[in-house]
Amino acid sequence: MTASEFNQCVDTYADGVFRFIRKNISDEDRARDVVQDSFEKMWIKHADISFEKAKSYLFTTAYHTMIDDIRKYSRQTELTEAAFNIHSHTSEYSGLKEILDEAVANLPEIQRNVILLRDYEGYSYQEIGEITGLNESQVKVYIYRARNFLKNYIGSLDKVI
Amino acid sequence: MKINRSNYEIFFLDYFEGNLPKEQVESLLSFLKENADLQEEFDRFEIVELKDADNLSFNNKAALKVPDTSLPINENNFDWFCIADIEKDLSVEEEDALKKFLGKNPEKNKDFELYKKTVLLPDNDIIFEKPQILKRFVTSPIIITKQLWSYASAAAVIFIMVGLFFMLPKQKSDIELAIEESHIIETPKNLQEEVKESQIAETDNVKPSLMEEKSSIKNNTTTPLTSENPEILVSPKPLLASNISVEKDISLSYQKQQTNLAASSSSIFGTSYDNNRIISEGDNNSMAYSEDTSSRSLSQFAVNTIQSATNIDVSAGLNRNKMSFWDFAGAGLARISNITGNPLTVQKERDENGKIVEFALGERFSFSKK
Repeated sequence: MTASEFNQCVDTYADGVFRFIRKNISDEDRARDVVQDSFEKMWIKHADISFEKAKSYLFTTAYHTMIDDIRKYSRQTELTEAAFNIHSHTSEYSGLKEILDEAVANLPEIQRNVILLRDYEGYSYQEIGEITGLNESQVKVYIYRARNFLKNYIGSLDKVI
Repeated sequence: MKINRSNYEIFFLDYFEGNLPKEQVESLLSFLKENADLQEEFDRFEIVELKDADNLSFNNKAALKVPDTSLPINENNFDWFCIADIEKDLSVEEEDALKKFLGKNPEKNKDFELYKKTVLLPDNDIIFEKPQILKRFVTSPIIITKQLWSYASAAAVIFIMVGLFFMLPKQKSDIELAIEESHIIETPKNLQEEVKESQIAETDNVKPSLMEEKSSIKNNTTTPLTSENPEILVSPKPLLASNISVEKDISLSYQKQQTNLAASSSSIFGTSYDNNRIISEGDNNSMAYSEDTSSRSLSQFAVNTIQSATNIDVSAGLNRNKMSFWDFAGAGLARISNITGNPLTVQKERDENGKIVEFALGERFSFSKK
């Protein structure tokens, strides 16, 4: 991958990676750091990565960098997420998007990641498996559980709205 | 095993579980008498049994079970079919079965609609601001046309060489020094005339052996100056403009012939020129004729010069006949990097033919060929 292609990846994927990370890490600065680290890691390996594989490599790197970050700040994250969630619960819902955002935030981490990769980036089960280190069957199971959770979540709040 | 303060817990445990042999019970009791401080711990020791373990159960086993995904659709696998429909995993037959099931069970339509709402849409409000910081160049590569590419490469070389000129310590060449000295020490007129006369008379007397021993210039544009034949100083043929400095130095050398005549002349002729070709000799003390000058070119000279100045091998491009100004520019930048101590990364992207199509300086600036 050339420098030009790398920069093209920045234009094409930076927002998508950031959204993916941002849905997992509420701290925007930390999310930005993860994105920067991911692109930095890809640049280091850019000579060995083909342009066609760049997106997959980028999301895989971002996923693992994010997991490392979450583990590193696990205690702080729990406190932040708890505060974030409490705040969200006290908010008034203005539409489905807010409810879904909250539902996604309440998903178990792995389920949240697979469904974000599926819906945001349109990855196949196999690609999601490669990114997250799961096999295809596990990915299917997690997507099934995630959708089931989301459906029940928005269903339970449907009466409130 | 004899009871002591480091293993008494084992005896306590065995005693309360009824596994301690009688002879060891006596040992235990006598140990407690000798260590009265442990008596309280012995009295408090009791076996805790988890009597409620059998009452623990996992209440959500249904969630762990794999749904039966085969037709027909029923209450148990309806959710799976809804999700599979969203995921576009259903066959045509299964899709028809789902539609029929929903038709027969209208109360399930709400669930089906809720599942459809679980498809997440990217939040376009979330964007990575200032993505430029992620790029390897602040600006996009400057795209230039094929014609401008040549001008850009030449301009880059000139720019870098001018930079090198000012950055390198000023070191005058022997020829420049000779010119300066010739300005200071004027050659007496009568001496010059004497030289010319003797030169005309003696031109044909030049011994080949002497020429081989010392130095010469191809095509007889100049004739080697030696201590053995100091009278032969100037070529009978007209000198080229580029050789004027040599002529002046020869005059100077005549005055110095008693001291360092040979050394001076050999250093001057270390690099000599003719109309079309440049002869470059690695050994200044050996000025033999160069037999393969026809194969030398301006590029070769440039390669030698840059390599000797920078210790950087730029001959690869020449060897594959793809030497370009960008190769020289890269070598020049590397030299600047060495001088300043600030590492400058130079990246050159080549096409399948080996031609440079992109030239990047550091991580912030690049040229790209259209």
